[in-house]
Amino acid sequence: MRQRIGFIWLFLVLILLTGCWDQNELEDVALVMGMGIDKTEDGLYDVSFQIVNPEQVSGGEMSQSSKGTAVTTYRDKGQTLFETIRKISKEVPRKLSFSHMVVLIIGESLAEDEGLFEVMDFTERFYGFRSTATVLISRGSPAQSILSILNPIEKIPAMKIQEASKKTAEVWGETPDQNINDLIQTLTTKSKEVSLSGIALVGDMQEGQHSSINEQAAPSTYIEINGLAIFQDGKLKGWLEDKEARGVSWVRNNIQKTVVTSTCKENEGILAVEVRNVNTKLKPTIKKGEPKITVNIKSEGSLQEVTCPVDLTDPNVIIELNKKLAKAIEEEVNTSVKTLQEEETDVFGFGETLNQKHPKEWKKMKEDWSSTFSEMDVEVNVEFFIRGTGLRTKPLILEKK
Amino acid sequence: MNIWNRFKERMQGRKRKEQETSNEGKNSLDKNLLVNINHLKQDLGDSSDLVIRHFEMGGEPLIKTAAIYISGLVNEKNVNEFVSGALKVEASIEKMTQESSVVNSFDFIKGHAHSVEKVTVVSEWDKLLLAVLSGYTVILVDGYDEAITGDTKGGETRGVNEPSTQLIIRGPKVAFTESIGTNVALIRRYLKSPDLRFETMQVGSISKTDVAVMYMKGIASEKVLREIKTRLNKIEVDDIIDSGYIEQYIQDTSLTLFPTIYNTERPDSVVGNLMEGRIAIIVDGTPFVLVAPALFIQFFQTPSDYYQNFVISSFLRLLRVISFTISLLTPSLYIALTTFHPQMIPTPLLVSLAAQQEGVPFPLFMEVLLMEFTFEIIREAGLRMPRAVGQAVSIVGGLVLGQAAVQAGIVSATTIIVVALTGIASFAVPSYNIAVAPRILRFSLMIIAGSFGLYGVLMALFILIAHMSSLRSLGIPYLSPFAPFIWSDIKDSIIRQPLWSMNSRPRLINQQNVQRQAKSQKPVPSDPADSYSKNEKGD
Amino acid sequence: MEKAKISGWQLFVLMLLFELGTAIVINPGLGAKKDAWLTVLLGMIIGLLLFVVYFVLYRLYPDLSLIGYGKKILGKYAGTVLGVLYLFYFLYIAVRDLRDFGELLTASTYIYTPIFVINTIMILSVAFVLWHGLEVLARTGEFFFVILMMVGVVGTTLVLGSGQIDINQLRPILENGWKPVLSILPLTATFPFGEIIVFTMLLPYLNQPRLCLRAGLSAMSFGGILLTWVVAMDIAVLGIYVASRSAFPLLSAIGLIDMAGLFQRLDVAVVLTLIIGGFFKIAIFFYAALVSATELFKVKKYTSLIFPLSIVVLLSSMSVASNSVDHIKKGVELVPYYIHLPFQVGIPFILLAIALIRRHIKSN
Repeated sequence: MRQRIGFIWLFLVLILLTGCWDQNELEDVALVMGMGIDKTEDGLYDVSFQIVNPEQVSGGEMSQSSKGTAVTTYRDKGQTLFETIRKISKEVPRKLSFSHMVVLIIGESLAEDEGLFEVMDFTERFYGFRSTATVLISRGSPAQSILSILNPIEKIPAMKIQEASKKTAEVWGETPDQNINDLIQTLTTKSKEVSLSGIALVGDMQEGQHSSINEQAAPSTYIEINGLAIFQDGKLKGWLEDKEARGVSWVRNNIQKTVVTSTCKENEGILAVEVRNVNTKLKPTIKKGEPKITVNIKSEGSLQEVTCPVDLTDPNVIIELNKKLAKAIEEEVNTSVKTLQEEETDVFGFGETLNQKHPKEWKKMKEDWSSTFSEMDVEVNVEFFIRGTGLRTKPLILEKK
Repeated sequence: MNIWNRFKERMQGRKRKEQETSNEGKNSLDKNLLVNINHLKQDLGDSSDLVIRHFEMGGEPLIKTAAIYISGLVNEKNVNEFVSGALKVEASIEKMTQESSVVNSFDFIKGHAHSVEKVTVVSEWDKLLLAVLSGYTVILVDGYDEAITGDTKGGETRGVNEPSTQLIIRGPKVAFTESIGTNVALIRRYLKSPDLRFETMQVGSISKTDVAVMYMKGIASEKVLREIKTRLNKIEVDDIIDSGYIEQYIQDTSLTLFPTIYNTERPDSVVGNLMEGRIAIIVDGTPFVLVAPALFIQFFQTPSDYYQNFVISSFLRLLRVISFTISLLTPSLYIALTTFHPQMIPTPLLVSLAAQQEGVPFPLFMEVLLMEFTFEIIREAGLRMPRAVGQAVSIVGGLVLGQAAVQAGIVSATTIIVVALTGIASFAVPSYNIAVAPRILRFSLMIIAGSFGLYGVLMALFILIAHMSSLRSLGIPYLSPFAPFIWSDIKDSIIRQPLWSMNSRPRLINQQNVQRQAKSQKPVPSDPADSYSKNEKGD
Repeated sequence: MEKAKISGWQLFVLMLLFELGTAIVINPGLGAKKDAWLTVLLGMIIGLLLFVVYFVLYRLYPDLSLIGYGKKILGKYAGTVLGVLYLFYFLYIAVRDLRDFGELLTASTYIYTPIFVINTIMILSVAFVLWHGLEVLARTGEFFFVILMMVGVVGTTLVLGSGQIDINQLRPILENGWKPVLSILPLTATFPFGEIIVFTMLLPYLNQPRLCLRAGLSAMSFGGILLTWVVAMDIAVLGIYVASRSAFPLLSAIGLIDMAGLFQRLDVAVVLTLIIGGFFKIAIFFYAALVSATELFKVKKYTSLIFPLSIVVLLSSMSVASNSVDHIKKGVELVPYYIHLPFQVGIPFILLAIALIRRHIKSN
């Protein structure tokens, strides 16, 4: 009995005298939605945080009062990232919480000069970070300016950026949506190089920071997902544009949906196909010590727009078109393979497939992989199947006489 | 501690002795009628409801007799029948004179007292007193130190009504009353079996309350029955007013918030439990019948679960258990998540919560604690008020405290939602007894959640579950059939299987006579297509 | 001895919770890189063999615990010494497991809370449950087993559903041959499988001795398969490089779940479910230590030892290692080889050999 009282007493003491170390009232926390990292000329990190003003964002009765901006962007400099996070308290009267961060934007110059390894250590180690935040490379302007642009559709710009990154990866497929974890996984792999989507500012920065931007029907300043950054050993090496970038997605089986266009026959006019169900298989072979990769892409899609006079009711025509589209895709892949071989960066992960299928040979090639990659033989086979032709069969253009 | 106990014992001992001495030597009746009547008057304090009717009968010498009863406790009609039947004033004179030589007048009167139940002869004084006080009519005859008593119980009692605390949609609409006889009869009507046994005893040294133990012989476990009887016999108190008294004296441990004995005012519920091998304790003067042993899950079941489709019943039972959990955990989870683990809340929700919290003067923990406490006050106030005032209380409570507090920015709207949810959820639990437990536990969980977050809540749950699994109801583990896990009893726990598949009675409660019904009772209609085609041919 | 009885199912549940306990958090075998799952599976098979040895000892002395038959086999004095050694062994592992969970919580969610407070709350709850005896521990186990399984099923579904799994991350199998796999094997065989030796203290309480072997083997195989699956899932989700570097791989893996923005950041929930296993692991070791102490020192009721021993465990958990790195390094490099191996393999084998020889001599 006495012991039981002792237990209860100890419990009470613990609860009443201690407790609350990790407790934070919601009103004492600033929610960081996006974080941008640049580097100043004297080698310091220039970190910017996009912080939500909850009252401006939330619905319900309370938010009708004032018209402020939904987010505020703060920035500070420091030798390490963690240092700036704590130092920013000089400006922000609250404790930063990173648990809901959705975007991490890394400045182009930082990525070019210093590389990703130094930056990413903190993001991985720090308990508060969530590794599902999308990582993007700012293109043409510092990360800080990208974070500070407001947006009319989504009240919180950082969420808009993440949504854009996800949506374009889903329906357009040029640029993959990669989060911190994906990035670190690729960074730590020796057999694959990093590629990240870029983000760019269009228009005037000053204007984009003012809340009046939200009142324009056609915003003069906005941000867009733009290009695919190519890395070698964690350092930014160059950018791939449009179709080159999509070539990478084809090979890496990252395409969920996209649109492929092609001319039909020798006639004028083009047709557009929405591609679905892409299935890419990499087949590594080694002959006399020489590696070779065969890229087999199988995909299907449906016609969405036709402006050339072809009879779509004829199966032979469809077979013809299948070949044309396959050809178009093949070209895309080939150009991007060629470009990347020139750059000597294996963002396709060819090395990885070799490792999985031929681990012994891979060990020999591992050391000198970049040059091996740049000279290796890559064969691309594409098969395409049109599965549907939309709501009409014959194109409208046939009726034009 | 020891000194106190000894002191108490001595005091009780002295009291008992005093009582014994005061009755000493007078425990038998006197032969003189007047002495007896005076004695009775004196013992009952010359109470005004004591009725003494004097009769004189027979030839010579006249035999003086008296009928005695207490006016409010008897049925006047029965009394008159009893008295006139027994004394037969007019007709008796002839017979008396003829037979007086052969038979004495006392036996003669006794021989004629047939018109009511339970006619007995008493010769002890305290038995006579008890009979008078229980609503019996006593006939005293001059010259004899014995008395004739007849059961003339009656008086104003409540009739059989619909149940007021355990409402169900479908099923018998009858509830127990305060009269033990009615209650026993209500149960008997369901089970026309000689195996339905009940044993009555009187508990309470002053109140002498009738307590009946009812069980199905051959189904109820002898061990449990013996245990209950020992525990009942152990009770030594002055009075028993409600079955709640009995419950508190016989439960396994009182150091718990969870009820370990079930109570109900529905005969069908008692019958169902009797047939599962449980034992009912009926207490005179209260419509609430105790059923033991009771399991935790039993408090989430209602009789109508068995009257309707098994899928619906299973769903409803699940819903009730979930509501119980909600009413226990929601406020503490709310506190823990928002102040310790905001990362688990989806971003838009968190932003909206943060916006509401802006400008609220209290820390979230205090806010929730305050509102929960206020809610408990409103609930208690509304419960005890007359119905008309009760509504006003709930309007004031709901509107003023809720709406106004939010508008004034003292409390955030989400807190109100959380508090309301816990309140509503606790109403969804069918048994009031068990719904009280989370109301109290909730507060301690909230304090722990406010200090240690989810980790604290989890550890508290460990302690809670360990406590619950250490409970026993008359030796049966409280959390069975889950812990200890008994597969065959799961069929009627948190779910209810179709009746035709529940072939055996609960195993833990009942080890003998396990089979409840013939096997393969699944309804198999004769092929409808067949009969249809036959009909067609016939046409 | 306590008058408790546990059923075969309860033994199964306790063993399974025990197997999953810490091993699911601090994944053994990640030293074998991509073949970690293979090491765990092989470790499980060795563990099953060890359990058969313990079972044979139990069948020889069905009413006695390890301490009891240790005395019978080795004689009074040597047996007592052995008993004391095992008492310290059980206590030490309880201490280490307590520290494991303190580290887990302070590293993942309770950054600023002192580890001492976390451990105090844990040991208090364990003490409370043990106060009520083995039966209550077993019943509590049954209850939380269901919760753990439900969370497990939901978690697995979410991981599968969020499309994070990439089977290719597991390939190639045996990248570096059998050598790394075999070198890690002593670790996975002893932790968590060999630790099942603690149940030799609980087996005398079993109400149906014939269920012992079935319950034990099925709990260990089921637990082993679950652990294998979790390790494989960790690697398939995180990639071996991230998985082998992260302190608690399962947390990182679950942290990646993001289903429609609604189910996200589930790692806190996972931490808490992991504590369920840890709780029972600590409780079982602690209980074994309590029972050994009562048997050795002839104490009447083990409840009188709960309070002093829990203070011992609590304080030792603070001083057992100077920091988390030290703690984990000891756990991987020292404990399995110098503590687990002799206590789980060496001594039981010797005991069995002597017991069998004695029997043989007797029958002749």
